[in-house]
Amino acid sequence: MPRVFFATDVHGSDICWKKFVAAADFYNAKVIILGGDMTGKALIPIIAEKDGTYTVDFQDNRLVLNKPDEVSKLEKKITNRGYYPLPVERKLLDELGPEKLPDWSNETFGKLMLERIKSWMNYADQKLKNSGIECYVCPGNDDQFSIDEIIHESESVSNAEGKVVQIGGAYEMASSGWSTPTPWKTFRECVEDELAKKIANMTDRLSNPQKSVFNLHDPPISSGLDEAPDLTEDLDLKGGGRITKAVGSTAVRQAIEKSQPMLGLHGHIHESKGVVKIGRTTCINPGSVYEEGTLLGAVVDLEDGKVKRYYLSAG
Amino acid sequence: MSEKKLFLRDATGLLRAWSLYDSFVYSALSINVVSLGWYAFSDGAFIPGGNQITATVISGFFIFFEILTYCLLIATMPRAGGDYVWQSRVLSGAVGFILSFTGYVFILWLWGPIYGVIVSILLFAPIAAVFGNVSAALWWSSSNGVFASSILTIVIVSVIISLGMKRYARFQKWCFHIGMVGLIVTYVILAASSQPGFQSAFNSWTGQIFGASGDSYTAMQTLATGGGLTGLAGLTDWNVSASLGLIPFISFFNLYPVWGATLYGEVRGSNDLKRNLKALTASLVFTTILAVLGFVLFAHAFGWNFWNSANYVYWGTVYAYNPSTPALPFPIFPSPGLFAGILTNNLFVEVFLLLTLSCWYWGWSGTLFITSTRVMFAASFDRIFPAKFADVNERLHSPINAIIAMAVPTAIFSYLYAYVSFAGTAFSTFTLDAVLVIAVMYLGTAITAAVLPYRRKELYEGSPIAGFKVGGVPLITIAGVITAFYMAWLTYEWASNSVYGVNNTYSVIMMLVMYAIAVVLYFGFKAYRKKQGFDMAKIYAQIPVE
Repeated sequence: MPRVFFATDVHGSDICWKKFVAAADFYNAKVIILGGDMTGKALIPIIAEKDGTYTVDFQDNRLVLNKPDEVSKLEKKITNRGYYPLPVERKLLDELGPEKLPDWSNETFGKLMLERIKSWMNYADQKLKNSGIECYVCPGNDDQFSIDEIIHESESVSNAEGKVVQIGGAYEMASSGWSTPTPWKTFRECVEDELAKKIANMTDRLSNPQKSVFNLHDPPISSGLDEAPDLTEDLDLKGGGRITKAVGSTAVRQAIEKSQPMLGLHGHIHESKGVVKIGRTTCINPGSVYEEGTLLGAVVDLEDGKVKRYYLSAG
Repeated sequence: MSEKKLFLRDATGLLRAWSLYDSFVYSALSINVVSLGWYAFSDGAFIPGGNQITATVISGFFIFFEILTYCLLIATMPRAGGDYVWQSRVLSGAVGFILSFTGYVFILWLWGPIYGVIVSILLFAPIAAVFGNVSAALWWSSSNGVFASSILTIVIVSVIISLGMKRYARFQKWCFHIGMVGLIVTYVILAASSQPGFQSAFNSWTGQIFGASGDSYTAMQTLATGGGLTGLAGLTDWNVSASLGLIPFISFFNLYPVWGATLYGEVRGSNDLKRNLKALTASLVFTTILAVLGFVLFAHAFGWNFWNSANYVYWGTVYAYNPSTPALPFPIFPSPGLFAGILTNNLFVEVFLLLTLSCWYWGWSGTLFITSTRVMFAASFDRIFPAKFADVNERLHSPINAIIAMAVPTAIFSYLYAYVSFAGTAFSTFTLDAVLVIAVMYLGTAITAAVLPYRRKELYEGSPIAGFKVGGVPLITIAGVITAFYMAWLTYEWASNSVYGVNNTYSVIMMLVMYAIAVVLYFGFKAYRKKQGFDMAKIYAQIPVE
């Protein structure tokens, strides 16, 4: 009876990645799966001022640090919350000025993201190599394509994107981190028809769809796993965030309704944690609170082609 | 492009902000001055020497620390399920379940008939009265009327929630705006009137509607004095020590500005400490000002002694009905909205005021079940409550099972509230149990906040509030301790003074039964899940990392 641990949307949080790797041992899971959106969303400059202090805008506060050990403590905190600390001298920022700063910022962002993913793969290799644990990741819509190459180099982590893989020696899993278009125009977005084709390319290869797992980042539309705050054109929240709307994928829902896999694993909408049944399929979105350094997840026992039991964890 | 924006990339979920105003509206409706306030203030005459303004301001001061505690918790752990999630993750699963289920689910069954009473006395009975239908006005104030309005409330609230949050949030905002128009017009009428003018209008109106003769205005005050009203403090007798005794009544009105906390996990950006603190504090200050202004205007227009006498007489007939008491010249609830209408002697204005002021009620009514459903969801996800209660009906986009779990017991409690007495003690006198159980839950959350930096050090150190300290002590600990002290003091007062109707045998039994149900449910489910092969300890446990 393979036990699967699933988490998603860790968005660069170092501590969440380490917890994900440790989850196999903690929950006695043979298979661990990360659903998507591995990379973080913001750089946090730690600016070395001319007077020897360091200034940082972080968590809505302006911090002034005096000692290098305070800086390294803060760097760890920033990294655990999923952001990228960027030590930089005030002089450099002044020299770049408003014209060159955006390009420099983008370039640095990309570099730091890749560095973080590389360090994660090294960490996983140290912990999981020869452990017998199967570890799958599937970059999500927020992840730039260049991280795939780094994952590919790992000896213990498999990139499941667009593939049908055997998990736990017993079941097939089809995975995709792509989503339907978002207001943020992220890396791996496509229209419903295209997403349907991507999914069909995998499901057509399944030997027994009903005994398979669909690991699809985008949740099925109108499932309750896809309720996100409704937005104005300016990306402001309507009704104080209490007005929500279904933003999942029709293609994902249709694929689930047609194939009726035993399990659907989803993410993308952090605040829409839940479990629903679509026909015989148990669909789970464990949600994400990566900024807290807490790893939300789902522990699922599979047996005889069915979900025997599950629970949502907050580790 | 701001410097901040320069270091962000376009990634899912990055939003500008969420409306401070929307948060303010939800909070202001949760401690709304009309539905909850006017009901709570009508008990003022029962505490000799107590000053309503003093009690409202002192309690507001302590409620600020409750707000601060919750805002700091939301900034640290913004999760749907609020109190349940915080308590279960920081204290223990058992504490979280038992306190939150009693505070957000079971005790809301008792709140159902209280909502029913409020809509009866603030809308249905006065509307019937202004149209001259005295028997209907009295019926809405009777047991049958209260039961009917409770059932109506359950149906309306269930429908409102079934409509979904999108429509409900719009509806709520409209209700707030219309209700504010009604309240402003009420206050303007009161400010422009005089006490002799009111006396004359009141005497004329009671004669016309209820057939009372003579000086009804004076007769009400005589009845109150004869019924035992004594030691009524004047509007400006600030007497602090006597006023403390009023706070457990005032809490019925202002204890819950943080009622939306269970919803906050659903809101991106909801962990913004400054915005939350601004919105919730603004709602507390705004509501407190409206309440104090109300007291001043009631004293100016109705006469302080008259208004309190009318309240005293009304509750005397409800809770200690004596068949030998002569018919009252004014036998329904002395609603300030109705009194403002009477001052105009204009049916259109009377109806306008009653309908617009009722929007305070309609905008608030959804709070009866919404929070309960969120706590059920959170417990269902933890497998400590049946998953069925987290199901959302796909056609209606509504948690039908959770709504039924609230609606059916609430209907039963409505029956008990309207018709049942235990050895001469009416079930309806247990009204403040509804506040006590919530205060005990808040006490649990305040303790959670106070110990969070020590029990969940990593979580605290990584949070945006880690730097907030006073004299080296975490601000959340200080706020939690002050809030815990306030909640514990309130609980002690309710438990030790019979005037609040809480510390009688049957009231205590009812509350203990609720806690016992929660205990049985928690440990029953835990044992059942264990039998199914779950390791429940791991649901709440942190994954260790080297």
